[in-house]
Amino acid sequence: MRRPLFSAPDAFSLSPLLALLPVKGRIGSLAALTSSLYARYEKVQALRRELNPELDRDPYRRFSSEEAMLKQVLDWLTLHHGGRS
Amino acid sequence: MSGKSARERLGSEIVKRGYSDEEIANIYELARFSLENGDWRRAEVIAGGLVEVAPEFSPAWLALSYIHIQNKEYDSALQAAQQAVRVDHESPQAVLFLIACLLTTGDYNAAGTYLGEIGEKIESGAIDDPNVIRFYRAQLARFQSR
Repeated sequence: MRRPLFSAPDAFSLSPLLALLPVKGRIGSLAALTSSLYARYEKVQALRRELNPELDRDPYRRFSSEEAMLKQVLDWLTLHHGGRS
Repeated sequence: MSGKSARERLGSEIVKRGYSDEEIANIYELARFSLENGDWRRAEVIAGGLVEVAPEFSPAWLALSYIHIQNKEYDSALQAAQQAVRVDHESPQAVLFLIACLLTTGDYNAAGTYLGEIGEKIESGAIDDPNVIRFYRAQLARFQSR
């Protein structure tokens, strides 16, 4: 089917690699997970604080990455759905 | 609690993070959405966390590879794409990311091998995603004009 002359370009034309990233879930479903994600965030934060960054380098790095990820998700939920953070 | 007792718990905590498939998929979707909207920092942090908690989830490695490519960190992009293929060799998207990285880093032999694999799947009809086919053709053109 021909595209209208003045329609916006398709996603692939704008950024082929980005258009190649598979769609796997729905961000709209994240709001329902807010409580469990927040509980997980608190748990991971507590575990990370118990670690010694010098003695437990690898676990500390992993927990820090997970904690930062959850914080980004919760911040986004707070901004868009009024979730707790 | 002492650092020692925390360390005793680490084995089970790390191996079994307890995220559901739905949680992983939806968190990844926020990373992808952030990339689409130019929120690179958020996407990078989320993708980096996902590969720690779900290293067998190929799309998170692809998102990380994409971010590295945009940052012109091609060796890191290649490593992330290799991880994506390692955990899901059947994903044409993962293989195409790897091909793009291999061509960029100058490994034409390996890129040619993977291009052959994808080409065969397209010819046999096993791959029919138009974006995958368009991207394959673009990489084939890069390979042929090297």
